[in-house]
Amino acid sequence: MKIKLTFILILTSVFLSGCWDLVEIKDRAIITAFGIDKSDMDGKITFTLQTIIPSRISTPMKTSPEMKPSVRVVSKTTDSFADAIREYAKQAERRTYLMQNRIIIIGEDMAKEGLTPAMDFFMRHPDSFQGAWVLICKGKASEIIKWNSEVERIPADFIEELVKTRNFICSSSVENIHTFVNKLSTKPTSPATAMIELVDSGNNETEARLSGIAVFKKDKMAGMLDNLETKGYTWINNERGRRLFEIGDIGKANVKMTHEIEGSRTKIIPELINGKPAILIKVNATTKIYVQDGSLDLDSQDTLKKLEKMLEEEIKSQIEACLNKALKEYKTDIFGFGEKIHRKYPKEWKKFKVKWEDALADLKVITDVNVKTKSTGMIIDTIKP
Amino acid sequence: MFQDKEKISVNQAFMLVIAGGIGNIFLVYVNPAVKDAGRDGWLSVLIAYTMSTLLGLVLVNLGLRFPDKTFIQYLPVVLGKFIGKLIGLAYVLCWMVMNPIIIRDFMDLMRFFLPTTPQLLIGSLMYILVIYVAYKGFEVYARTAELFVVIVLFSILLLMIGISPNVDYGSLKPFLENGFSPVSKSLLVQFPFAAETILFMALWYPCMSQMKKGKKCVLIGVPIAGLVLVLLFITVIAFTGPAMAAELTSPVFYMVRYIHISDFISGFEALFMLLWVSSIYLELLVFFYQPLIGLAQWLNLKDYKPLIIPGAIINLMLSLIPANVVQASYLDTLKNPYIILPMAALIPLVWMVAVIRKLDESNK
Amino acid sequence: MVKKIARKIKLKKLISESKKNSDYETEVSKNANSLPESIEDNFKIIQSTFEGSSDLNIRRFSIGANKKKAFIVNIEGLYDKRIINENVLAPLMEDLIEKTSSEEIDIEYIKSYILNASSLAIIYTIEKVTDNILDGSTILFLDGESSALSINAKSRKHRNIDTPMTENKIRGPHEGFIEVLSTNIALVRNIIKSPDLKVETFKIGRQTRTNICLLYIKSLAEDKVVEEVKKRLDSIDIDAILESGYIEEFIEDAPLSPFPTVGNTETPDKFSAKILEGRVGILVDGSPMALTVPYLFIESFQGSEDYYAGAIVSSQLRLIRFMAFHINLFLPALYVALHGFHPNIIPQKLLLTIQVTREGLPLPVIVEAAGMIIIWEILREAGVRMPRPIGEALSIVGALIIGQVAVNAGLVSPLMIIVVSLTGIVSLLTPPLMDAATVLRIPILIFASAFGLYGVIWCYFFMIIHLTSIRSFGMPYMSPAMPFNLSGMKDYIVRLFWWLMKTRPRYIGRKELQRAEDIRMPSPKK
Repeated sequence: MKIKLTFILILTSVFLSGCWDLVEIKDRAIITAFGIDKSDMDGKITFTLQTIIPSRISTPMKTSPEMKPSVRVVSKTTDSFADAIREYAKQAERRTYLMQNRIIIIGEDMAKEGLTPAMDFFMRHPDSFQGAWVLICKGKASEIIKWNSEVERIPADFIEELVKTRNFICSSSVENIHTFVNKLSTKPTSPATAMIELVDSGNNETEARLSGIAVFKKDKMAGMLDNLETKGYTWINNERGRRLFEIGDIGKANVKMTHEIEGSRTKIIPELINGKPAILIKVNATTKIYVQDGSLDLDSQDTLKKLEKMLEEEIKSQIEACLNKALKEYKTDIFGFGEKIHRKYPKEWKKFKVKWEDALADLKVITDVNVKTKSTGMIIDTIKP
Repeated sequence: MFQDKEKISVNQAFMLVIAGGIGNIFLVYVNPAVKDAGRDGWLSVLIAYTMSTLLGLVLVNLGLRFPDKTFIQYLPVVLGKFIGKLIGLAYVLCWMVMNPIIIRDFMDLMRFFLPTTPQLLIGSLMYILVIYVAYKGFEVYARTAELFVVIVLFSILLLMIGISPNVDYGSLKPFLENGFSPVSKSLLVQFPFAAETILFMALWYPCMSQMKKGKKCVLIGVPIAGLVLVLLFITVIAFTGPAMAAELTSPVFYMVRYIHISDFISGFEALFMLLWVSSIYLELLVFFYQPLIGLAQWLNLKDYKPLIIPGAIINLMLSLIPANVVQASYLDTLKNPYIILPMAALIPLVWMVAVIRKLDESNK
Repeated sequence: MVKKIARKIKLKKLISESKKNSDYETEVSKNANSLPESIEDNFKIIQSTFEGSSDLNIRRFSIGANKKKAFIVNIEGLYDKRIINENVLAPLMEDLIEKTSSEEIDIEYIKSYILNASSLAIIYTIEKVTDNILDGSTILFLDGESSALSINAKSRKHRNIDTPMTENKIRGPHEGFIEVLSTNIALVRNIIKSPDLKVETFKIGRQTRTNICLLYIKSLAEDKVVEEVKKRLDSIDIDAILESGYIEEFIEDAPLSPFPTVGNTETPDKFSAKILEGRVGILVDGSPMALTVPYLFIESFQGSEDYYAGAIVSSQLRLIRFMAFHINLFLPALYVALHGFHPNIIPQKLLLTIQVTREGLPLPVIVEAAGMIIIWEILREAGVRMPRPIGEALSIVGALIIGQVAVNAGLVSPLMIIVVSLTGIVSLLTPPLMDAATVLRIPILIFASAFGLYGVIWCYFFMIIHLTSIRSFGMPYMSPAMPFNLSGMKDYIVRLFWWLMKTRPRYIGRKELQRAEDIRMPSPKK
């Protein structure tokens, strides 16, 4: 009896005070991209949010003919990170919803200032999803968020596709909030993530594109890697996707060749040589021939071996370029070498860790690349007219 | 008394051992283990549950000596009337601490989903379930445990599979970087977690229909609970790394949030609501029955049912005392070494006295 | 306090009164009046008892050369005219016409040598006479006898054995129970040809005096359960039993629970199968619905066809039914919870679609959901009760037109129509649980709208605790899952092959577990 009574009491209290946390979906503004910039005014931060306008989204039921942008972009300058979404909620008639957000773009100026407060916000806020991608932008993040894609109705979707397809072509290496913070919080390691920029694609159109990698020294951006070094980074970072690979000088005039790396596997093995730390990078890759312009004696094993050798050299040079830039110039351990040594040689690490950053420049890194040609495609040598 | 009326089967006993061993502990234990022992926390969990298994065997032997008495009832027989009663009271009062802490953890967790709903309402909804089951009897709880323990184990398994593409088991190395002392320090917090299930068993053990099989339940149930927790700990560390895990309020919850299947389905923290609620339900009742039955038997009451509603109300009120999450989790780590550990030490002590005094009522 | 005491006294009074009522039966037998010897007295008694019943039929005649007075009495329409004319009246009036010695002509003689009807009984009391007349028997009175002969030549008008409306199946026997008790028992006897099948009769209902039969197999049914059923049947005191539903309501374990604790079926094969598992069956005269107890939760998912079709297919069907029950209870609530509290679970593209369809809708989602569920229930009820041709038209109008117009008018979102109609359709998969789902759906919806998924899960817990706490005639309702029983799980969510189920379900009857000596997997010789 008493149970029923308390039950009824609680039920009525539920009815009387209504539903506290129920928010109708039509009252939500779904954020699809989140940009952070350093404001020109000193000390302030500019937020740019891209939200969807549902009435402009075409569904199978209803298609709107005119190609209007289906997103709304709002910029707001506030003092602190916490103010951002609240500020936006103030002026929008809908409640902002961050949980579906997959794209976070951070301006270069902001990244150089240090990302700890931003990451704190994204880790702490109950509505943020830690799988969201972190991209560093050349210039202002707000410009990318304002940019309208010709392909997708929601520009953020285009960027998301961009991030996802880099898995297939290994154009870059992107971190999300979780992996970024994970690297940040692991003592010797620093994060690095892809950069995004708007490029003129001709016909008076611009296109967003991933280009280069932003290298951090702890939470501050130290610099960036150019195209060649980025390729090197994807090798070291064990990005396993396919990639096209052109051998610059094949040793024979009028012959050009492109290989497709089908799969690769990179192992980073820490070693101690004479009591000093050293790193062995082992790359195993399998390739097939993608395009061949000009005849080469592919029927013989020797030629294939020679080609493999050239590929190996090429990959090695990419990796070394990347290592030089990161270790010698920026003096930052974006590859997690320090942590690798720590795991394998915990006792010796105690000596190294004090001056690890200074030691990076002199760190001995041995690269061992092994390429195997698996297939030449449907034909062996090129077609001879 | 209550052990005459209600009987539980071997399978139910087995599930109850696991329920007490896992319960909601998996939401809480990672954080203190990481703070104390870093990435080697799993070792302390492993040792804790091994020790707890041994403790369970001692309890089974002790229980078989007094087949128709619970822990509270044979304490005065073993230690003498006055000391036995005094320690019995201490035992009952100790468990009063647990329920508010658990329900507080739950309310803090639910704040994530329901930020503006009054916390007290969320807690009292949970207590409606508790009161309902308590009135229906211990048998009903044992029966529901059969389902919900399986749900908890299955969900944890799913969780580990779901996160497996994102883990790096290298994070567990180096092993014992700072020697064994952090692990042993962490044991002070972890062992009480593991011993909770055995201390609960001390009260329901005489209800078992085949008491002889209690040994088997302990030998299989406690290691299963321990193994699941060790695996979960390893997964958490492999996912977040020790540095990040120490800063998170609940690493397991954070891990569940991160799971997403090819950008199609995410938001597993809500999908796993069944896991959160069933774990809290199991643990809440373990520590609701404990002081309740204990007190009823200490006072020689015929029935514990009149104590249910006052008990529930007191627990709910106590749960509102901690000002915030930080204070609540501080209290959480405080209770383990100072309250539960002495209680766990009591069992071998009583056993030794019983062996020396050659007390055995099993032939009666 | 005073009120409480007053209430208690009132209750005690009521109880003692009801005890008096239950003594009614025994009192009657104590004060039983024996029949007088004189035929005129008998005639008067009959006439006064049935005064005002114009359908009472009394035929007076004389027997033998001595013209011994006699009469038969019965009720028009309840007796078989042909049998009474040819096998009772004809031998009595024609064959005995030469007999002179009146000494020889007594009831015993007539019963043994004259009448060739199959079912005869000598009765001695007035009450018995009245009972038998009302039952449709014909009573023969003879001058100078303090007893009468009851000739059981009933002719009851009834419909033919037909395919039951409620339990359609593709494979398996198609005959169903009808309203006549004796026919129903015969149908069961046709299936179980064992002397172990016991049939015990009760008469319940002060006015209707309805016959109720208890059927069970003595060597399989648990004695405790049989005793319990008898005890509960004995304690029923009501004026009328018109259908087995009356009995069901009186012997239920958890009368306040929406979940059924007494099973019902319309087909003899299913009824027999339950009895063969050790259950007790109850047949009620005038009702084609037979009851079986104890009834467990899982029986709601077990169709009789599961056992006739292959094990693999039926296991799959059971899984689907199990899913259907959950969808039935929780789908609208889950929709509201995900939509209002946890939109991050919904994939972004789908979320946008939902957002577009809900754009500009005037009603809050909870009102929309509850409203649509109620409308569905109205349409369903109307469809069942309407005469068939109108019913079909109505369901088409209801389902198609109202739904379409409501969407077009911008009152309801199309997704809500999908959710609610799916919920409704799915409820047809588990007919025994339809009532429970209908009752519980709206409360669950309300909890979902207040607490999101937490509310839904909370309701689920409440339901599970409730289900595990109730029992049906001593058996835990959720067995064999809770408490767990491995051999019972063979016929739970999956049904294993017959040759794997060597024992009867342990949790129902424990007497004779082995189904047969040697059940084997078929292995044809090559």
